[in-house]
Amino acid sequence: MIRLLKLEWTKFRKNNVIILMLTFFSLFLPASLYFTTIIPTLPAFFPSKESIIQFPSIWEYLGYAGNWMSFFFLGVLAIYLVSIEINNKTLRQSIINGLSRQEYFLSKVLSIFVLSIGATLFYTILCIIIGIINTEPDTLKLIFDNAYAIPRFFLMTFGYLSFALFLIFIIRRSGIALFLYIAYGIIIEVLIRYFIIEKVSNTAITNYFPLNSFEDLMPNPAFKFTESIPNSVEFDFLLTHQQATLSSIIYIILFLGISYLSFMKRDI
Amino acid sequence: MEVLKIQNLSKSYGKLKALDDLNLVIESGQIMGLLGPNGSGKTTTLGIILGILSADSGNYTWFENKYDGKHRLRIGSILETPNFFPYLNADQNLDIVRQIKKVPKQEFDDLLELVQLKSRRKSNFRTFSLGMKQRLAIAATLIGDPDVVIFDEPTNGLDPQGIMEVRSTLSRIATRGKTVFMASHILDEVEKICTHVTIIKRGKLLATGPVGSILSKDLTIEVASQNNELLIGFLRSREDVKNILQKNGIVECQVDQKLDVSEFSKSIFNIGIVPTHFVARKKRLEEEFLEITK
Repeated sequence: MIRLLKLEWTKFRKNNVIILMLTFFSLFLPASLYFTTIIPTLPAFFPSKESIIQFPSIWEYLGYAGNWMSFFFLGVLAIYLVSIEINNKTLRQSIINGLSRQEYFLSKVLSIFVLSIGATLFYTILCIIIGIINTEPDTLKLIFDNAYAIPRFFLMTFGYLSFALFLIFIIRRSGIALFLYIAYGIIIEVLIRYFIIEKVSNTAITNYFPLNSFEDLMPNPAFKFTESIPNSVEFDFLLTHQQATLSSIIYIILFLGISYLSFMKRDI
Repeated sequence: MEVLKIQNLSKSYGKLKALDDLNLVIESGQIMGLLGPNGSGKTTTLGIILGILSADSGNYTWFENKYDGKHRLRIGSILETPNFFPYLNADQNLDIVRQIKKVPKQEFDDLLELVQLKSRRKSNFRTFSLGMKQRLAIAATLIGDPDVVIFDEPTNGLDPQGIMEVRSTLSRIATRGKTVFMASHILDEVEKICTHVTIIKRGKLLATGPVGSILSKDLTIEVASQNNELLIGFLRSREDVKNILQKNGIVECQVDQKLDVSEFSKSIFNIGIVPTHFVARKKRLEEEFLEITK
């Protein structure tokens, strides 16, 4: 596995697109939190603006910001990791040179695993630094009150990247895979859920859709507050953490499993 | 030793039959040229034996064993175009191949010397000319000192200078005692480099064997004179002359290669014909190929 990771490192350490995507992720994640704090007025059901950058709620706010950043920058990067190899035919050349298909696939899964670990570490360090700076010393004991957000952040990121890998391995066209990835994440899944909600009485089932499952690992904190308002909504907005974790794990296994089977079977 | 044995290999793309029950054996040390018109199944054949395409039926063995990862490390190959990371330099790209082939860390001085790219080793691949890219790909095939090297149309798209450079590189590789399998539709290239040749058309094997055995035993004789009609009449009267035809004022015919050419030319003089053009040559692979694939 170390050999495969070293190989990936040699391939991509000088790639400008990857450096750019990682830079965007690293800059926009803290920046998004900062922008939230300078919004003049938050909706009434929100707690104070300061809580956004204080323990323990910073885990949720920064986690939700990371939700978007991981989806966009790291997801696009995951598609790019494979598509650049398809476009330059280095994928087929790697197989010709002696890398087995299993090894090649594993190298990509390892890459997104390491990316997810790296993003989670960055998120954790950022939470701790921003939280310590902005939390009153007497409440610092709350520092790890929401720390279970860390494994959820990892799972969420790995989920998005698995979905991205799934699309590029199945579609093999960078433009189409990228378009579908973003379109599905932003609009298609939302539309499908909307139509199902219209037709089916049991609406909660739509929360189990793949990207919604990943999203609900680090949901928009606003939903939590709206749900606490009596009779404000007619159905559950969110999966519980346990539900989201379980369905995310199932989707990750499905996405990677189908990608693997497809990659092993098809001509390159 | 049988390096590669292909048995009854077939592959279709939809209704198009790319390979049709192909059989082929390559022995150790041979320089085998795989010849065929465009679309004859050359690249499909190579794709299957290199593990990137799957056959519909049939099988193949490398080094008298089933194809697996270990055997692939003993094969160096480029298929169609040179495939590298455009933003990495020659050294970095070769290092990726080295890692895949599980070869200990090394400098690539000798390889880059062989393909005359030492001075450009730190240049990004995207800045290379097509000829340089092709030569880098040839260097990559030699990493790990493979027993077999496979090339697919190695001079495709190159200018005359590039063709010459790649050919001379291939000739140097051939002298290293490697088994070489080279697909091409450039007959001159195969004739100059290869010891053996296989000809396929529409995925079917038409001929295979040493280049000498594929080439006909006949000599081709070209004669021109002031009186070609008389000349043709004379040639027709001889039993040892066949396939007489006239092209652009030159009469061409085939005779057995054991024929005494000086005696033959004298016999033409003896009937009062003074040749203005007389050439005796062995039939070229190109002519043989065209005849076989007709």
